[in-house]
Amino acid sequence: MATPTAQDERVEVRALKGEYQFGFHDLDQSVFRAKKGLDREIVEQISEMKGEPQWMRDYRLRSLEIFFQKPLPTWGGDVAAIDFDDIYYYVKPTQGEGRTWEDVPENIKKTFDRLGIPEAERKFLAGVGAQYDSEVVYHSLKEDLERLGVIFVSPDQALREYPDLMQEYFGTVIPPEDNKFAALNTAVWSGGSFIYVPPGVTVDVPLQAYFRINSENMGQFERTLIIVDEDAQVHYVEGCTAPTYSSESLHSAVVEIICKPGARVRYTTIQNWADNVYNLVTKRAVAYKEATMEWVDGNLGSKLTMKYPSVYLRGERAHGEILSIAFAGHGQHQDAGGKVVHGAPHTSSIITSKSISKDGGRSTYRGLVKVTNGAKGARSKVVCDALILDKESRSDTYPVMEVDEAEVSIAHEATVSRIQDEQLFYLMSRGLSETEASTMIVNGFIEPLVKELPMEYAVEMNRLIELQMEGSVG
Amino acid sequence: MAISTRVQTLSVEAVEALSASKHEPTWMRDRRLAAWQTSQELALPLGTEEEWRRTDLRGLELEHYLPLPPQVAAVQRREALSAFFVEHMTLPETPVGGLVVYQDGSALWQTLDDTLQSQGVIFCALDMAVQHHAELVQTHFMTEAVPVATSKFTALHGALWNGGTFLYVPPRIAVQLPLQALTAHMTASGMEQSHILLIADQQSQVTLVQEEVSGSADLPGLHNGVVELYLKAGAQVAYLQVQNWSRRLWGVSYQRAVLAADSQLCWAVAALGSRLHWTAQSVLLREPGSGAHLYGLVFADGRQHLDYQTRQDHLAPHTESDLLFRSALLDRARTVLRGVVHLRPAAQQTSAYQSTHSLLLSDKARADALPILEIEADDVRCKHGSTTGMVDDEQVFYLMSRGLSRQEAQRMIVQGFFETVITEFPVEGVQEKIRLAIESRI
Repeated sequence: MATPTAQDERVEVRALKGEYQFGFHDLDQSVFRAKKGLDREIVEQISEMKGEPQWMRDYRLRSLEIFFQKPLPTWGGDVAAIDFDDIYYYVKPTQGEGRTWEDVPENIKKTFDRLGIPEAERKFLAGVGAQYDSEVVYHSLKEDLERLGVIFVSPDQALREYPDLMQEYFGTVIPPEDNKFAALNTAVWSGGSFIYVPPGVTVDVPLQAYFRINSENMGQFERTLIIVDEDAQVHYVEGCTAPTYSSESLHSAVVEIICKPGARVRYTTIQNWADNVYNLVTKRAVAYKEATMEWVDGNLGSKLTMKYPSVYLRGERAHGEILSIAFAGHGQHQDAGGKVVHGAPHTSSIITSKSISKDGGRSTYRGLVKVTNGAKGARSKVVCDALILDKESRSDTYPVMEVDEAEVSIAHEATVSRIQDEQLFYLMSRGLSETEASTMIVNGFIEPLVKELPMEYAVEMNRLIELQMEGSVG
Repeated sequence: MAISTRVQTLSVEAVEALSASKHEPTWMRDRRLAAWQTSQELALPLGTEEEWRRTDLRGLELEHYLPLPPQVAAVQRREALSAFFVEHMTLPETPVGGLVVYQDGSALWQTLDDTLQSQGVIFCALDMAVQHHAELVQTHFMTEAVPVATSKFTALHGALWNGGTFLYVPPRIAVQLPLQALTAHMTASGMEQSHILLIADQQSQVTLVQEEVSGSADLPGLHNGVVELYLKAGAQVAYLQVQNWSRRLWGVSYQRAVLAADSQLCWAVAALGSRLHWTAQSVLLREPGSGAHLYGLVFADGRQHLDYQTRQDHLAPHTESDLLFRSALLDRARTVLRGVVHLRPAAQQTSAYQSTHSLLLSDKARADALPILEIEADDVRCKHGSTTGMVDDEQVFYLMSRGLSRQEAQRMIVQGFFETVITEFPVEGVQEKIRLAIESRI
């Protein structure tokens, strides 16, 4: 009986020592684990295990070929160290999916406890899809959402229950040909979320899913597909924490979003992978006439993140917004940003990027604003602000603007600076320590993102920044 | 016959023939041959390199151009220069302290104010400097600013550079009047490989105006140029460039300034000509206290393609750089403004700014802007801004309500758009020349 308390204490002690806060992990109790490495056999095995239809199996195998053919990107971060043969591509934690909280095994529940999932449940969050390793093990959806016809399931379940929707939209926004990691994901994807919101329906509470990597050397390849029908609205929140492991992990997700005419979609991510995770994610949305797509993207963890949420504005007066925050600490490279393609008249977009580099970390804004010929009246504004906290750190800005249409207004601005001494001295003269003062300034700097987050996440975000800031700043 | 054919292709024979025809000393001949060797080891850009992604060189066929255009004898009297040169030499209401005119690599005419000569200022054709000021040329020619091995183009230039301007200003000499260089491309399908080498010694001051023209607007040609500016401690240099090559010329140009402690550079560029022109323009702020201001005006119409790859490279603390580029595009023109600001770890207490604005006057035109920051120091102020847009309808309507035609209104707005940059050219005669050149094209 003393064991849990002792364990809790250990966790707390580690947290106090500044170790990775979520660095605990449970004994590995996976039911099925594919062998390390990647070949046709593994892909066929994954498809077999999931009992997938033939078309998905073929799609996976075709994507695998594309993955093998595509070279690694030569830009962005250093991905050369990834050993694709030293990764488990599929781990199935328990038999079948838990439908209610009671069905979820005890040790997995314990992990969720620490992540605050039951608390979120108590707070009346609409649906909680929690991803433990590769399979969605727990899933609940409030009844009123079901009544509205909103679908919020894992893509595996969607494949069984809504095969027509899956076949119509899967891979249409991000085909496997898009890039090497999208091809990899399409070949070995497992878990993720599938959401469908029927015409005119507004989901007024955020839908949340918590992802977690647990098995060492296991790649996480979740796949999310969100279809929001005409004039419907939804806010999806994806948060990640991962336990610390000594060898490197790979996380390579694909998120596809379709915003039908008049739809409003917001997708919020706070990424806090352990600092040995390669986080290489492709996220893209298509917005049709008068639709609005918003990405809120916070990157705090991982060893290397390469992620550029995109919006393709395909219908008149469609609007895209990307809010990106990156915090690069010791040994981290956050290569983040956003892309907007204006493919229709009177479309508009705003990209706001805030990045912080500290203790030798490197943060990079990489972005594209493209206006195709005929997209008359397109308007776009990009603002990048970077804060460098010490002289070992680095900040880069690589925006690209391609304008192929005259009747447009495209603006970009960026600043790079450090914390102003006057601000620091002012706060310290009011009795704050240097660390407290710096933390306060950094929290103020990222305020535009934090205020867009649901309350629990805003609190968590500020707490994570405090942890990152601890015992530093010169 | 066989030999003369070889001489008229890119070949080691052409390199030797060129060196022999100029009676060059052995050291320059050897450098040319070494550069030729280097050029054979380097490949043309593939198009996948960051700086070459937006300029397609697949249509470039080097063998279609004559590496050695015919040489021309210098004139004895200024009056013997043709009307073409006289017209282009003229800077409205601006007296100059010296002039160098050359055509396809041959110096036609050069003068320098007597006082400046007696002060030790050297301003002449680069060929002459190779003969008479070997030491200065040896230490600065394609060594630090633009090394021979920078690219296939610079290596070919090192082997076959032909004509150009040499300017040396001794310590503490302030040259009050601007010096002027006129480079003319007069041979159909000729290679124009001129070189600018400027050395401003400690605490000196000088202004150099350089204009590049072609014999006619449809004269085919290839420009492969290099510009090297060396600013020693405390030097103050203004360098003004007007690029007005023929509309059938393809150009590649590598240009770099190296700044020592407390030196100040003002570098103003007007890019008006060429069918396709790719320019790498860079300033290296190597020592503390140095500062560079770069101004650019890019005006493109028809099917012109003008690509500027600028670089503000800060190596030392207390350095400052500022870039302001404006481009206006008509018809099916395309411009690329890719500007890198790089603050190295040692570059503390620095400030760097970059601002680019593109004005699109046609649906078919395309403007790419890539303002890039690479910051490895923390105590810095660094900012950039970029806008792309069209002429504001309200401004047009306002001007039309005052009785102007739509075209006049548009011209006035474009002139206003460029005026911010034009007024930064520190020689009034050059300002006027640029205004006239733009006015004649809208």
